[in-house]
Amino acid sequence: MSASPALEAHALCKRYNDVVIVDHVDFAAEAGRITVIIGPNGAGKTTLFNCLSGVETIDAGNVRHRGDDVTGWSSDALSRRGLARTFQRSSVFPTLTVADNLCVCAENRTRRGIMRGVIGLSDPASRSSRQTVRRVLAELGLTALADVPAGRLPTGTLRIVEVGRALCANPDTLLLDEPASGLDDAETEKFHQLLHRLAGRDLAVVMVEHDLELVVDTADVVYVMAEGRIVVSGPPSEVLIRADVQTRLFGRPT
Amino acid sequence: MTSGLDVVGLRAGYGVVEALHGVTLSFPLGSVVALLGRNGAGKSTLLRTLAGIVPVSSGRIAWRGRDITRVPPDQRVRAGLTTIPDDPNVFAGLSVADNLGVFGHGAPTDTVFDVFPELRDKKSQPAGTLSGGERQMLALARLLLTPGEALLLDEASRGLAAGAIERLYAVIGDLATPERAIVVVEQYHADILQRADLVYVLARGAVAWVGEPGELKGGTLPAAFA
Amino acid sequence: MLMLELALAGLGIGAIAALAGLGLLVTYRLTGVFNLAFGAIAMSAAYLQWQAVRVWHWPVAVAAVVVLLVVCPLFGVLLERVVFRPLQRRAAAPAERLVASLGVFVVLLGVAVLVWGAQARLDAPSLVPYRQLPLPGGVQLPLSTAVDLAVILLVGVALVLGLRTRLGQRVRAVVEQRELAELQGLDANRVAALGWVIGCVLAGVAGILMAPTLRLEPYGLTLVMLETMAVVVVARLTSPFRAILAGLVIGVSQAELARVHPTGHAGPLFDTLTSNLFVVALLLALLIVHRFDETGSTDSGTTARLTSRGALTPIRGWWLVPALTLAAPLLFNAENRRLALAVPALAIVLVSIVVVSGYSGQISLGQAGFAGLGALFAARLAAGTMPGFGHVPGVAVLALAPLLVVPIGLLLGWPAIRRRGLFLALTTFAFSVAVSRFVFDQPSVTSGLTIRPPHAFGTDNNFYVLELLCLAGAFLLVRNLHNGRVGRALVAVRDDEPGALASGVDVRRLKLLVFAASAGLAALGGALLAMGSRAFDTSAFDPIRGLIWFAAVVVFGIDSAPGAVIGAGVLVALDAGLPEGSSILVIGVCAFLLGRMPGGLLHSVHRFIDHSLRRRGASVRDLVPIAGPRPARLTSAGRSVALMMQRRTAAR
Repeated sequence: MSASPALEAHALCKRYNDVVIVDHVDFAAEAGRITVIIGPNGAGKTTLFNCLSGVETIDAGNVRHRGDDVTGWSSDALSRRGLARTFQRSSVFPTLTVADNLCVCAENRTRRGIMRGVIGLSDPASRSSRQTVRRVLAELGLTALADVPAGRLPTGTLRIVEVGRALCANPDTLLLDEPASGLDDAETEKFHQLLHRLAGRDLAVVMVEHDLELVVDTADVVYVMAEGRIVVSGPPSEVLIRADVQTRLFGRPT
Repeated sequence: MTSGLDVVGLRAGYGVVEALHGVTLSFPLGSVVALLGRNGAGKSTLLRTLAGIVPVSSGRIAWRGRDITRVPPDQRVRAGLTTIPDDPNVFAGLSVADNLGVFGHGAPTDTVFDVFPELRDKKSQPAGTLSGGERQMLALARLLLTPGEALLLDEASRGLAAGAIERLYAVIGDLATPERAIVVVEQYHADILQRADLVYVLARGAVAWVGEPGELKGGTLPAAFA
Repeated sequence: MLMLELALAGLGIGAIAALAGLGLLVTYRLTGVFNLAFGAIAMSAAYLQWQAVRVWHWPVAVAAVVVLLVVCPLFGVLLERVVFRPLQRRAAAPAERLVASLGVFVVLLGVAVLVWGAQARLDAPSLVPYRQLPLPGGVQLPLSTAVDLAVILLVGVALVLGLRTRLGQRVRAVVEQRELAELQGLDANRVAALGWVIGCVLAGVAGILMAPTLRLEPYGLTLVMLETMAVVVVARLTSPFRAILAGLVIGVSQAELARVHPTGHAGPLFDTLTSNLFVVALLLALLIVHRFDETGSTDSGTTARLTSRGALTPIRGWWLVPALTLAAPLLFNAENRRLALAVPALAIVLVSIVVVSGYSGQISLGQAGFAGLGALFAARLAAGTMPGFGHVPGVAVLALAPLLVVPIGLLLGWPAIRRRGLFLALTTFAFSVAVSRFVFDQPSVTSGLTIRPPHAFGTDNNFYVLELLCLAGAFLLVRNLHNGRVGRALVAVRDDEPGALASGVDVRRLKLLVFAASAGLAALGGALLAMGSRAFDTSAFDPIRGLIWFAAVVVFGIDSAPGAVIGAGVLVALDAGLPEGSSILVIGVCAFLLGRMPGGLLHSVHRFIDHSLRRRGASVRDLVPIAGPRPARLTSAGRSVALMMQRRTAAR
């Protein structure tokens, strides 16, 4: 195992006005592992994701990506660094085709070449971008939809497009916010296989997920989050059977 | 079974794209009907058409014997159709309390906080600042405030944690009375199949399979699912 | 007591500003539309009142009742029914609603000029008898100001209390998410109509109260509203009391400052600042305020839904239409060709709007400012009076002037990094107003300027060819911005900014780039416009002109550069063939009807052709991938944990 985890956070805090949403969270995701964050609604899971991926600013604490301090980095810079994410509510580009959706991410892995495009020169990396897009489309079974404008697709399919887009960043760390919600059974099953393939390629996969079956089937490490704090973490077989976790997940909050 | 919500030869879609190619089905009073199918099968479109948001290009919708095919959405609500849409499901700029005011037409809201205590402390917060699951809870508050005689739920359990899903199904169980037709669109088959009286499977904009949940349980689903 | 008396006089101005700003704010809260036509509606009501009292000799009170309680409400219902309902129904982008209200503005203004003429009338009937109220301290307050203040307070309180009622909740729900509101059983049409009725009555009240103090004149009264935008911005579109306070404070400060006359160089500048205090306040407010509380969905401000990408099959050879539009003038006679010189120049200006607002979704209402600066710089460079530059020869002016405007575009692009939608629209508009007031209106800057085509292109024919070359160059740049990596990234920013960021797109740099490019293009177009007409005419680059240009681009298809060329051709032809101002009226009527032609005029024509070509559409059937047989869902591990969980919960 390498010295530092792919993504790690220390004493992360986030407040809105006076409400503490994320409260001194310590978190680590290893390469080649699937790390899942579970917890009741409103526990702060999505906000934690937003802090990790640079979408929201952090009030205290720090984030390290592959050992480097990336606290305060913007989300586009993190994406170019190899930390890609999807959103809970679809953020695909509806007027672009599926292939172009993926292409945006593939060709912005570096900032170089933008000005070349403005003066009409071709992008030197365009061939490798196209190849990445083709590979990811094939891997996700989206090849048939490549030329369909994304706005015309059902929501479940959009989630897969979004995962595909994140994969086009050639990420080493992948943050997925409820990726399986809205997927039908066949898609969930395929998605499950995809996750294992990605972990097999030494990606660090981090997910927020409510579908406990999927969690049990896929997770290597589970973090249980409640009221902004990490309650417990560990392998699912140990974590999920704990009485306090069951109360958090199934009991009525008081 | 009493005649509830009946759909005959329904065709509908968005602009040039037709999503429902002649769907005939009925949701009788006193039953919980599960509407299943793959993504893009037309489940949401069917619900939106029943609610009156997507215009009908041909076919007929009747509610308790009365033709409502051309009735505007707000009048359908007053006739007893309650739709909880997928997205947007809440008024993001309004506070939680104001959302409940609009949902419940001013009815007292204590029952909502009994079932979804997560929302209690957030009454004055804009709904847009809630998490995805909390928004869904807020949307579901309508079931507790002003449930009509036909409930159309589009992926009601989406984004909810396991505990909240159980509470949701308990509410649905309480609402399943002989005078009411409940239609549940879900991806989560195992749960809904335990509660449903009847299952429709849509595939590519048409009804592919009708039956009782027992016929689906345990084994693999019909090939029409694919 | 001079100060106190001045303060009271300022209170009168401030009360008017607060009344107008408050009306705008209330209309926005109740309808979700930033109603640019608010001033025009007020002006029309004031004219109707004048007509009834001065021409038909009705008693003032009767006339006011008829205008405010019959005509204004009816107009509100009409607006909702004809203009805004279709827009709301298809959840049109805020830019479309803004442009539709601009359409109303233009049409009302046109009608007023047609019926009552452009001259000012000084005998606007006053609702309030002229009387001075004695105040302690020996000063007097005009009764009209007191009435204004009372009305303002009443409206503010009514808004705050009203929005808290059940009806208020419903109104907000409909403004926020119309479809969801209908699913709650609300009659959204009626609720929206109520909002428009209240908005129009308020505009009427403002107009009738203001007309006696200000002059009754179509343009003046309409534009007063644009000046009072500062009040609305300070209130962040939300707080009526902040709006009132801001209006009063600015009014009083203006009156007090008018007393001070510094000598020397600073004198004229100070006077300009004082007399334009509302513009200064608007700029300051836009810098200080960080966020608006906008109504409606979170994506407000993107123009994404205006676009037509991929929805229709392209018609082969349709580019011939703009090409022929541009080629035709080469065959015209001398007089007509002189008129046609404006077409390519205007096309470049319109294309600059397509770039910034169509491709990347940033609403920019400030293009008139850039175009005017382009013309100004070109004139001064050619005359050798540009500070820091000597005499710049011929064609080099056309390259240098836009380059000098580009940094200013970068400057305006800076606020655009954080701002979207209405906020950005107002910021850019304020820029244009500021440039117009503080640069173009300064005699020391613009008086005696002449400009003519470069010597080698002196004849109209040659100059037209030069213009076409410039347009070709512009199109080359536009193509690079629309295609390939840059184009995709821009559309990504327009469609979903968080998504674009997550995809690694450097949104900040891209926005600066697009604002800079657009400013440069507008400057080039402006310079050519001025050269073609052989004069630097400040009224050609008036902020209102910028609004009309934006409306024209939306009408002709906001993401269509060829559409912009056709639009320029149509505008110039209409103005040449028909009485002056008719092009504006046509654009106004089209904007008025945007609800019925989504995506603009050309797109609607295109869709009509598309529909008649293929009767039956595609179906979702074509879109969904065919998958193999469905695998079983529960794995053994999953099933056992599920069972385990169930047992646990049952036991509790």
